[in-house]
Amino acid sequence: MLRPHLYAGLQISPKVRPVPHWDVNKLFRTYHSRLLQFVRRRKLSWHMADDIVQDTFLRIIATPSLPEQDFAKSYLYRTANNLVIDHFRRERILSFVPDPEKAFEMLADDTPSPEQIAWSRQELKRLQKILQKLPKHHREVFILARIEGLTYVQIGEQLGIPSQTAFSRMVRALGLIKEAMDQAEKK
Amino acid sequence: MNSLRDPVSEQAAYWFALLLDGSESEEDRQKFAEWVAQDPAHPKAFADIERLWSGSSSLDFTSSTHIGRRAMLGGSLAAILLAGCWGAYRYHPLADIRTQTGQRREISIPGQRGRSIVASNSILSFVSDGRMTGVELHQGEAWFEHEGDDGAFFVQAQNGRTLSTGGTFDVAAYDGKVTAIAETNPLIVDIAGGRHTLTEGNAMTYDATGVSRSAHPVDVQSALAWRQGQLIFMGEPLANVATVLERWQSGKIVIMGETLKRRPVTLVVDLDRSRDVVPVLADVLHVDVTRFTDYLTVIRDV
Repeated sequence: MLRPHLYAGLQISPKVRPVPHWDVNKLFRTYHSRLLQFVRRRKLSWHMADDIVQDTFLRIIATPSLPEQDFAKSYLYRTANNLVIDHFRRERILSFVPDPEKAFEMLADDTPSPEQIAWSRQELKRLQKILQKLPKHHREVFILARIEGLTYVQIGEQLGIPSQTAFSRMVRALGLIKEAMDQAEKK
Repeated sequence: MNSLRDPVSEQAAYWFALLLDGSESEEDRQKFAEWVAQDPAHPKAFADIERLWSGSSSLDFTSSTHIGRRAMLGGSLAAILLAGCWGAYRYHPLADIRTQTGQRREISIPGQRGRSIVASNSILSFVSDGRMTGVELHQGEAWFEHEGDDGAFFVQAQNGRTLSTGGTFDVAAYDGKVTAIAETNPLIVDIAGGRHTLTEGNAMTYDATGVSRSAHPVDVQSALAWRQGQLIFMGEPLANVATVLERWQSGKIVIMGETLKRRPVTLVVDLDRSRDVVPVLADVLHVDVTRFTDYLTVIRDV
């Protein structure tokens, strides 16, 4: 049952017209199989590739602010690519730990419950606010690593700082984000 | 403020940043493993940081002015979003039987006069412990019927073993939880040293930590109606209905909004026509159902 323009503008009530508005359904039809190919080329299992592509689209629905629709394609590929990198990093990190399923008992489950991993729109909104309020030095390092996928050496070169400083700022940025999220949750 | 209030979070941030770009040394890896093993709070804090990292992957940093207006929708669109999960799927490449999504399959059991009906998306292997024959259920659900004359028969699922001396019963293993239902005869359920007796007409559930729901009476015919190609829901929350439907059809069903997830649903689903179910929900519940191809269906309040 396709209702092509349901998400066009997400018009719940006429008074609230979100900016910008993406036609998620159309994007799905246009990019779903291409993204799947793109992700599968990274030597991922079919299941995992499917999951990552679905998650990419779910993020569009939950993310509080999206760029203009002209950037939709690059946004989709970037998000899928980030999810793939995150997935491989997880596997790599788990490989250092003896008996990772026990150590990460809650997390290494076959099918983690949505509560364990779900991001609500409110939470994403909170996270975005916190990122915007990070001190500039920390935020730029975080964004270069997160969005551009740069290493500390590359970040150091780009910002003209030693890579060790880039690393320290990243540690600090992650800690500050965590603390701010914890505080926001308590409220 | 130079240090965080929570030293464990600070350590977790250090480790995550260190392991981020793959340039860590072998020594770092060993130290990380030691840190993880030191205290269960450590892997948890690490996973928290990783979750924040994952959550930030889709945020847009190019514009910061759009938040306000779009955020007004937050309440009604509490979308869940599945971030990548830790660990990989287990595939059980050597399993004997696996059913496709939507498939029901009747099989015979080696060494037993009897049969089993295996539900959609299930994986099982035939096993033996030297004395008895049995089945290991890796995931999914199966109903068993066997004659006691051939000796006892067991179904191993995760950390527990359900033992039957003849009759019919059902075992389901989903999301780390195993539920056994005794239909015509009592069962013995062994979980990590503890032995439980389950009389006919009752069900019990266990998980990695032990019994999560002790024996309680169930409507066996409704619970096992899937064998005849039906799913019966009596006042079940919509979220549970979606979880069950996801086992029988491909793709994810995403329900937007906590209230909607809890809305009770009474419904009989014909499994041979389950593809039509979700659209039917739209009328019955007065909700909006959008199907983005076979992979993703979104249900939200009108």
